[in-house]
Amino acid sequence: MTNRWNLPDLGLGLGLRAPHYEYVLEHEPELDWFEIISENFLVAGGWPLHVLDRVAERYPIAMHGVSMSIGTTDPIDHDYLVRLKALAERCQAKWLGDHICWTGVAGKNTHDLLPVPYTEESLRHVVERVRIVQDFLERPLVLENPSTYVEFGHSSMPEEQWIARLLEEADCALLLDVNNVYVTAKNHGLDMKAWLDAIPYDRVVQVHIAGHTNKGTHIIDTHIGPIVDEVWELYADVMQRTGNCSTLLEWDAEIPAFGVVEAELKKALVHRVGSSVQP
Amino acid sequence: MSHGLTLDRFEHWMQEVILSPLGVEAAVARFADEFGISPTEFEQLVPAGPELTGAERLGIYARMIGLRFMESMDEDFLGVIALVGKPRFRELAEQYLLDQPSRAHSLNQLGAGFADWLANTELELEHRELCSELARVERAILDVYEAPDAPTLSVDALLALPRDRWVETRFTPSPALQLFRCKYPTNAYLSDVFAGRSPEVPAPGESFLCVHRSNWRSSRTDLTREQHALLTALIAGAPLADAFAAALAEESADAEGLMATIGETFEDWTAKQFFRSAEL
Repeated sequence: MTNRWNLPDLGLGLGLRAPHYEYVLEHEPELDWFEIISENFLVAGGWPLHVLDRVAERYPIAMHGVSMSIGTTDPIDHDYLVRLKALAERCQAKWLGDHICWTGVAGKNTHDLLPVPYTEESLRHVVERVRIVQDFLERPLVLENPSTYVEFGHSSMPEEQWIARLLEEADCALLLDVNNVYVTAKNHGLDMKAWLDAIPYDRVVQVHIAGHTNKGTHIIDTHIGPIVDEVWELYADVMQRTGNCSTLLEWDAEIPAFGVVEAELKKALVHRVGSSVQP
Repeated sequence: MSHGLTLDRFEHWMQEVILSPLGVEAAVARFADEFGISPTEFEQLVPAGPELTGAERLGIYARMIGLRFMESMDEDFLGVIALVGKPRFRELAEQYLLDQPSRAHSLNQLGAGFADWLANTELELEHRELCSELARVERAILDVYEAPDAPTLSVDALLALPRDRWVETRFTPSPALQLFRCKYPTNAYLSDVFAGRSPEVPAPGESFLCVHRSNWRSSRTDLTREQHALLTALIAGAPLADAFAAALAEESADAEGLMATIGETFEDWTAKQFFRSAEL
């Protein structure tokens, strides 16, 4: 299945992170693509932008932000969108997106990905904002399902149903983070298969995989360490449903040498449809 | 309760609760009247999960936000931490973030106002002036790293300037350059801290410093009083002759020393990418 925008399956990619900048420039590793955290490059100049320019000459880039705050009730920040659009043009981003969340209100930024209650009101609100942002950016917004640690009593529908409706009603795309599905489902005692069954896969343009931290009573989406078997199983399931999809490994805490992260990513090969790689 | 809780009201309430230094349960009680959400209603709004109470679940966000903020401040202000100690630094950083919560898109900007806040906070603060100076220089190290790019004057271009017209030359500084006139040996203190040493609190003593970007990296170069005055004048747009005059007007200016090393000094500054251009 291809997505409805015919956005390409870029293959296997990694997040472009500061500890790896020099390695990537020097060794130009055999990797299909890189994802950037948009805000790390919304700067006036300097080394990060220089690195991005050089990496973008060699690799496809996707932009993934953390401060769009699509769910906030604050006004849309047009200055931020202008800068985002300029960065997308600069690095010729294949697509750009953020998270289904809000990060603050009353002008504050908590720098955390806070969940919205899954209500008709929040759905209408986010649908309207996604449409405005997409019109401005002139491209579909690729939004990621969040890891959540809390549920709200006034939610009127399950997360997956709210997200499926958002995708259809706002005509936007999903970055399906399978680790987030796992974390959220475990934290709230949800059925992962039911979650995945609700998603319209012609709107999935990218998949995230990552490690997490199991605290015993709950799981935190820390993007640390190797990926657990259950998440690989979810990933394989999603590859079946999408017929393969651009895949990105996130490793953001205690970041090891590039080769270690790359080796973890390559484990995804065996789970992709039509792969000749044996487990 | 739930039916009357708009998304806007809900977000304001949740933000107050998770950013409150009181902790979630106390914050729920604190904001109960303002938002019309009593502790009992809170249990319906944020129900318990399989393992955790509602307050514990919401507390995960509160804790992660606090940790992220403190990690960011810790990374950016090693010098201030060395001076006041980690526990006191954390107290100061927490109060700073309560007074000036982040409004930027990037966490990199979290400490942008910390130096001014340290200078002006009503909290009791030992070594206030040095503390604020350290924070200001440490912030500049971050700022020049991401400052706008610009062409740089090459040493060859500098040396190609006609000697007989040097005094007319105007040097345009790099946008990634900041000058400091400090009341303490601030750079020496920072150098010790960055080298992993534990320096004593220094006695007051004037020092001069340039924070700049060379080959993409933030660097610091100590200046003499005269060099600082000269660079300050150049940055203000003065031609070299006027900048010299400004330098020599400094109290106890070492005119001979300045003149004897000026060629070498300008070559060094140019190699360090202090200037974007030199024009007659």
